[in-house]
Order: sequence, then structure tokens, then C-alpha cells
Amino acid sequence: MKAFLKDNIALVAAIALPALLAVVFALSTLVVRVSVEDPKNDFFIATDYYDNGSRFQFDVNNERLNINYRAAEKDVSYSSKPRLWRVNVPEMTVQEISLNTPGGDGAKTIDIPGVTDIKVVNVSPGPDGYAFVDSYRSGGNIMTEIFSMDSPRGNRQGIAKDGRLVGFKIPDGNNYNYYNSRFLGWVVE
Amino acid sequence: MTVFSAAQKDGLEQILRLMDAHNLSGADVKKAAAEHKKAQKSEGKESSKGEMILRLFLYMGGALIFAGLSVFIETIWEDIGSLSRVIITLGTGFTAYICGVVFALDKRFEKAATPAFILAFIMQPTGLFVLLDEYFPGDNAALGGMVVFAPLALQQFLTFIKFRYSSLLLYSLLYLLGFAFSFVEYFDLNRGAASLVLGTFLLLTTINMQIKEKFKDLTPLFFVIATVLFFSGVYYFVGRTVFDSIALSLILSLLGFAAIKESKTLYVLSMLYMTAYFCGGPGGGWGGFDWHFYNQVAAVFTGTSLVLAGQWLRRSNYISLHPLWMFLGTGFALGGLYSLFPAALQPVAIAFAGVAIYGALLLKSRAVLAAAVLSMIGFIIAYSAEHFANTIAWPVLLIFFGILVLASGFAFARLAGRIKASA
Repeated sequence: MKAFLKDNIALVAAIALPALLAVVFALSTLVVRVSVEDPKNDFFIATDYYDNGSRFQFDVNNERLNINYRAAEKDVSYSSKPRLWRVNVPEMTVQEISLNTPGGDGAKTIDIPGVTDIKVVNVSPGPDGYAFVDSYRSGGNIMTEIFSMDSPRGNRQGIAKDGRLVGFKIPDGNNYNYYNSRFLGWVVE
Repeated sequence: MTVFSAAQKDGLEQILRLMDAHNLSGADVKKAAAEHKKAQKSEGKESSKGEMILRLFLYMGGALIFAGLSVFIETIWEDIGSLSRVIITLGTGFTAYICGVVFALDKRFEKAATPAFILAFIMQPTGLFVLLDEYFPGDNAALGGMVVFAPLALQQFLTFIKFRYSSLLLYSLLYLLGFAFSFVEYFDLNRGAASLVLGTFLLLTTINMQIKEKFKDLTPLFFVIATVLFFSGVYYFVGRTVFDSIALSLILSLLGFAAIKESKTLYVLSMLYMTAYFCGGPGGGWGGFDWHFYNQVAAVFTGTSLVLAGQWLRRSNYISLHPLWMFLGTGFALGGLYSLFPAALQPVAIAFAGVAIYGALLLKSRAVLAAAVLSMIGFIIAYSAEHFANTIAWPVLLIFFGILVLASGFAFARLAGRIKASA
């Protein structure tokens, strides 16, 4: 065994280096998990959302989340209805907030208790130092593209601070949701 | 690299002794061996030509009969009842299997056993699925798969134990995989874990077959199936994570085994996997956060790994394109280092390119030397463009770099010549 290792030291080192890299990242993940404090601010995100192509429009103004609705106009096609989520920290559980389509014509402001009447800020990083990050990225190496199709880690989103990443997953989320997701603001209570 | 077994070493020692005794050189032995091989080949060619034509007709005839049978069944399918459907599918398959067993038991008909087993391999599961569809309620395909493939895998394996036909081992494995995937689907188990377990099991089994030189005709196909399953499992867990580099370690382990144990299929597969790993750049498979930093560190580690693997592959008996690996590896590692350093410390990274030039001399590699020299020039130009681009000294610097490139060219030629002389 010793003779084999000595004879093939270059191969052994070539195999060990990438494994060592994984160990280094595993350790650094553990270290930042302990050293960086938990997130403190819940936040809102929208999925299936297009800035100009949706009947529901979200924006943060005067420390409030505003939700506006515009009724369908003739010859204007809108995308599917967006979904609004509140992500609860530090558990990173997600809670869908139902958007009811109001009747009648014209533009309307939608009020949802506990959503539009609380203090929300849209700054990056947030008050607790965490910033929203979206991991969706097409491409990658060919091995990943071939073999990672079924991977649960395919597309994740999260918030990050000083190298610590805290991820969350939207239930029934698909690539399409992730691609069209939008961070809206941090809840400041 | 060739690693000889004890018996092979004894044989080589005997050959060397005989060469000394009869005053023969290595070239004489090589020439005689080549002539012997040529004579054997032409002899074999003549004797097998007639056999090959006969075999061609046999295959064509068999294929036509099978095609005719399939078309006939399809034509009458709607007009016949359930029992008839089962008889012409399962009946044909089971009869073919019985015929295969009977043929295998009799030396005179032994050659006919394999086609019979092939027919049984196709028709038996088809017939069992037809039986389930015609006579049993429900439409659970996964449960059906388990019911069909489990007994067939057992049947083929027991037949393999009796007759030792490698084709029967292959059919057992394929049925077993069919059963395993149906099982995973039916119980809604984790597909990644299932692929990893099955792939590891099959990979270790095939490695064992390769080491013990048993059923070597099956190992290429087994290696393909095993590595696909294995890497599907591995990537299910580490794909798009910071632990992605574990896959490279595994690929290089397989490559090393393939080179040592001389498995061409595994060698080619590993080479393909390694190329695929680096297509997209080092660490390119991680769609994560702060990926830029990850890519830089990954480039340093995996690039160095590539250089070392290339250095080791120089001793391989197969074509390895090791200079390309070493060139790219050096470029990745130095590029990663340069971009990792903050702007103020980037000259240190330039010094690392100098260390790489020294490494090239140690490794006697012109590919590493070329990559290191090019990296050094690239770093110097990038650094000066970033820090001195808007100063009056810039044109002077450009001229200086021109002289530097010329000097580097001369230095490269001298060092490359030294490497060539010492290699």
C-alpha cells in the first residue's frame, strides 16, 4: 500500500485536493453558521411576478407595502396571477398571502391586514444585515446539467450575511417561479 | 501506467533472461512479436470469413422472423381475446426461455441458446405486463413493474448460476434495475439515495469483475450503467452545492483505476466526465451564493488537481492529452489565485506564476511552462491596465511589455529546450 501511494503520489494528491476543497467549505459553512447571528427580520417576496405584465403590482413606499390592482383592459394580455409570500425568520418557513381579485373596472388599491398596514422597508442589506440572494442561474458545468436535474438543490433562494446563507424553499416552486420571483421588503416591527 | 501481476513479472523476467542468453535486443523481440501477431491475424481472418458470413445470415434471418412475428401480433392484436394475447406474448417468451435452457443443456445446440434467451428476455416481461393488463384491475405501473421484474430477475440469475452465460448475468441486472426503480417509485423513496446505492453497488461489483477478470465482455456495459447511476446519485446530493468538487475526486479515482487496471471503457468514460466537469469553468456547477469567490477558490484547487492528474497520466498506456490538462489546470489555478488576491496584493499572485515556472521545470512540462509564462504576462498587463492606464507612463509601459514578451519568448524557448533535453 505504502509503495503504491509513493508510486502514485501525484494521482493521490490530485484526488485529495478537490476532496479537501469540499472539507474546507464544509468547515467554513459550520463556522459561519455559529459565528454569524440569526436573521431578525421577516420579509415579503412575490413569485410568478412581472413588473409590467401583471394585474397586481407591488412596491414599497413610505415604509408600507402597496399592492395595486388594475382590471383587464381590452387587447392587453396579462401574465398569470402572482403569488405573495411572507418568509418567517429564523425558521425560514413560508406563508402564502392570498390575493383576492377585486371586482369592477379601473385601478384599485388592495389592503390586506398584517401586510399592507405594517412597517416594511426595501433596503439592501436589511436592518439585520442580511441581504436577499437569488440562486437561480442557468448554465453550470455539463456534469451538473446532466446529473443534477432531479436535485432538490436545483434552485434555491435565501438571505445571506457575512458568508452565512439561510435558504428557504417555496412549496411547489418550479424554475419558472424562481426566475420570476421578486424581493419586496423587510418587515420592521 | 502498467502495473504487472506477480505472474506477469515472472514471465517478463524469463523473457529478459532468454534475451540475454540469445543476444536479442528489445527491437528484435518487438519485431518478432509483431510478425507473429500478423500471421495469427491473417490465419484467423481466413478461417473466420465463412463463419462471419454465416453469422450475418443467421442474424438477418432471426431479425426478419422476429420483425414478422411482431408485425403479425400487432395486426391481429385488436381481433383476438385476452387469453390469446397472453399466449402469444408470454407463451412465446416462456417457450423461448425453455428452449434456451434445453439448448444450453445439450452441447450440440449450445450456440442456439443465446438467441433463445434474448427472445425470452424481451417477450417474458412483455407477456407478464399483458397478463397484468388483461386480467388484473388497477393501473399502478410501479406495482406492476415490481411484480414483473422481481421473478424474472430471480429466474435469470438462477439460470446464470447454472449455465454461466454472461448474457444471463446482464439480463438479471437489467431486470433487477427494473425492479429497483419500480420499488423506489412505488414506495416514493428518495431517488437520489436509490441511484447512489444502486450505482455504488453496481460500480463495486463491476470493479471486482474487472480486477478478477471475470465476465470481461460485460464490464464495459456495466461500467456505463453503473457510472451513470452513481453520478446521478452523487449529483443529487452535491450538485449545485459547494461540495460539488467531491465529484471530481470520484472521477479521478475512477480514472486512476481505469489506467492501472487497463479498462478502456472506464478510462474513456472518466475522461468524458472530467471534460464535462470542467466545461463551464472550475466550480461552474454551483448555482449558489457568492459564487464568484467559490469559483476562484475552486479554480485554485481543481486546477492544481488537474495538473497533478495530468502529470500522473503521462505514464498511462492510453492517449490522455495530458499536456492539455496541465495547461488548463495551470491556467485555472493561477487565474483563480490572481483574482482571489485583493488589488494591493495582486503582484504576489504574479510571483506565483514565477513559482509555476519553477514547477514546470520540476515536472518537466512545457505545457505548464507555457501556461505559467502566459499567465505572468497576462497578470502584469491586467494589473498595469488597472492601475496605470490613465497615466503618461502607459505607452512607455506598453513598450516595456513588448520587450518583456520578447524576453519571455526567448526564456520560454530556452527553458522548453532544457525540459526537452532532460526529459
